[in-house]
Amino acid sequence: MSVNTLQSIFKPVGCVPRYKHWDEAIIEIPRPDYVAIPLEYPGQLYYFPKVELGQQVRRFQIIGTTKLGHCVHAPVSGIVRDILLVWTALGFNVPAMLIQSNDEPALPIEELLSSVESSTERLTLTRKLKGLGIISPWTTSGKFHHEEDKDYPEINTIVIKGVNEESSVFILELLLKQKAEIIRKGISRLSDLAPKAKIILTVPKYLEALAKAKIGSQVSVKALPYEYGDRVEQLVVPKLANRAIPNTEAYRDYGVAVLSTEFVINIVEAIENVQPFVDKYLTIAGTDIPKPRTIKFPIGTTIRHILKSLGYDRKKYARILVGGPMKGRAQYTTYTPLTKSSHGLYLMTDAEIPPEENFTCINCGRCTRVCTANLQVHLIARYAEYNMLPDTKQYYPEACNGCGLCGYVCPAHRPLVQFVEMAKKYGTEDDYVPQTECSGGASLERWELDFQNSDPLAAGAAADRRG
Amino acid sequence: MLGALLGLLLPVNAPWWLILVGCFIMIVVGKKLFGGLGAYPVHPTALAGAMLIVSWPSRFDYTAALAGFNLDFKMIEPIRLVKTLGSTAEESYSLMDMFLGHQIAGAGNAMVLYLLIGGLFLLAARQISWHIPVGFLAGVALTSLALHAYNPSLFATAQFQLLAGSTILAAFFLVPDHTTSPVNLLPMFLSGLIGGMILVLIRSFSHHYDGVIFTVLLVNICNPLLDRIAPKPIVKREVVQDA
Ligand code: SF4
Ligand code: SF4
Repeated sequence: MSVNTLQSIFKPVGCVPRYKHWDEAIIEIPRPDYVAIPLEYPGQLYYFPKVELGQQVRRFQIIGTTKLGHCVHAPVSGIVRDILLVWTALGFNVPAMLIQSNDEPALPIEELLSSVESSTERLTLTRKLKGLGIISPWTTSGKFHHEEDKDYPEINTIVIKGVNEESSVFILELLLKQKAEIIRKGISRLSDLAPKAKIILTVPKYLEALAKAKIGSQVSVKALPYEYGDRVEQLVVPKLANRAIPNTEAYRDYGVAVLSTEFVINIVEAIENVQPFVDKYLTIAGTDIPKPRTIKFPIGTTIRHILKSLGYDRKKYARILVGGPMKGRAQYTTYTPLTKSSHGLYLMTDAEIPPEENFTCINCGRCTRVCTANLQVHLIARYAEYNMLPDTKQYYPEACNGCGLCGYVCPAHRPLVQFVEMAKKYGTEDDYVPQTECSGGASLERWELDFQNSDPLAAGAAADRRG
Repeated sequence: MLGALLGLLLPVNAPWWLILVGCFIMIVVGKKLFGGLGAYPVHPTALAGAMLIVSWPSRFDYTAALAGFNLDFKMIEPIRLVKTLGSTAEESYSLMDMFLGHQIAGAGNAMVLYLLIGGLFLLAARQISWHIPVGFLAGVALTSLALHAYNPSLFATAQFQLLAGSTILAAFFLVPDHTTSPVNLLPMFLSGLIGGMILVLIRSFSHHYDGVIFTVLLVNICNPLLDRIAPKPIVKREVVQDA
């Protein structure tokens, strides 16, 4: 028996693997041939397109706005080819704008600002942030797109995440290390915006000294332990803010704003007229990738393009998760475009996939004991499994943090998080119907073939023929 | 796993048909009819054992099974002797002998040392958590201490109860079975504790010698109730006001 086998027998239940090494450099990937920008974030945002099919747009140009003036921008220069349905990384089927990239220069930021300004009377700071694609943390968007800037309690705590809860995602700490100066600037902006707020920066332990030296004068630095269970955002934030915040409520209702170092950098770039929010960072990890790599890519790039440009063979991986190993979501297809909420890619090989799906529960209770929200996970999952969703209400599935630990420790490899999520959705969405099938990616696949096999003009013509 | 446990419980001279019937009851009635692994309400081994004991009590007689042998320790089940003679009978056994498994019992249910090693392995491999075994042993010890203090000549001492018969088997293998034990920490400890108490009470007051099998059945049916003692999740609840 090898040492590894012995170790795996005696290791504590629920110990999430940790990376010892990672790539410190942030790689900028080559420009993709096309991007697909989702126009809808269900329940949050709905962008109305502001450009025409076939129109040439330039990088940074506004391509859609919401009723409240939040803007989305073209992350590459190119020609608007289509508006089509795509699956987003979060599992929604939404309209997206397809832009085939070309070499036009980016729109100068002054022109962008004037286009933001012309649509309103004067350019306030909030207005400017909205116009540059930043959903300000002081507002949250309403359900079913009835957005409104409602009156919220005054901000009393700002939590800036300098460390990602997922052990495989390093963007926040890398940015903190490499762009501490910009972050310091951004934090002083934040304290102008919310003068009474207490600002807390969470960092990984090894960065505590650095963060204290560089930014410590403005914020209280809080080092988080390495254990995943102590990093889950829904647990950390209420503790830092010293309030019990149920998961059914928004942090904002309790006067708490949660940002990340990446977001602070975006704010500084927007305020200082560098660029709108069109580029995103992301870490690629996986069990057969010894050193996770962090990249910068234009929003709307597909997983496929990223894997190809970094030299990963997508066929080698049985599952590709957007996010990390714990909270990430497996994707139906590599045609999924990555958005503002994609912080990581996690590539799983065949060996990690459980051999059989849906074993029965053996009632060992590991899920329930590990649950960070004190739920009776095994019961909720059984009710959900046997289509008795109404009965799950008595166990409060809505309190789930989505931390993923229950499914991780389950010896029967049951899809517990998914069951709990079904129960949660059943309880909170009036018209919830569990989804059983999907046809992922077909729409983008068709276009990619077109782009590869013909010159751009012909592709456009083909689209015209399709009508 | 279940089969091995039943094997440990059976007397050494069990005829083939007893084993067959036992296994049938265990797997078909105890396990599959209730929905298989994860769904049975009581431990199938305990169920099968109980059926066999009440159906063929004479066949389930550990002492009679070994009547033809003459080993170098007292040839009668410890618990049985104590039951008939009172705690003075304890003197005929050495605790060390009992610890090493030198006592009359079923095929393997009283191999205290080896069962303990197995149980500690389960703990180390985190297949079971310490709450149930510790609770169970504490329950046995406390109850027998109390009874012994109340009437030293009638009731056996705690160390005797811990080592005699199938106490260790129950503490590490029968009661902590995943399917039939609670999942929350406090209920797990409680179920162990209750089990230990029931065991000593059965040994002291009923006409069965070793009550382990019935103990397991009884504590298993308490579990759904015990599991209602669960920690509260954080949710915002509407304040309901009386009209
Ligand atoms: S139910 Fe699962 S995912 Fe939800 S909080 Fe509990 S352990 Fe985490
Ligand atoms: S769902 Fe999995 S972890 Fe939870 S009790 Fe059942 S087998 Fe154990």
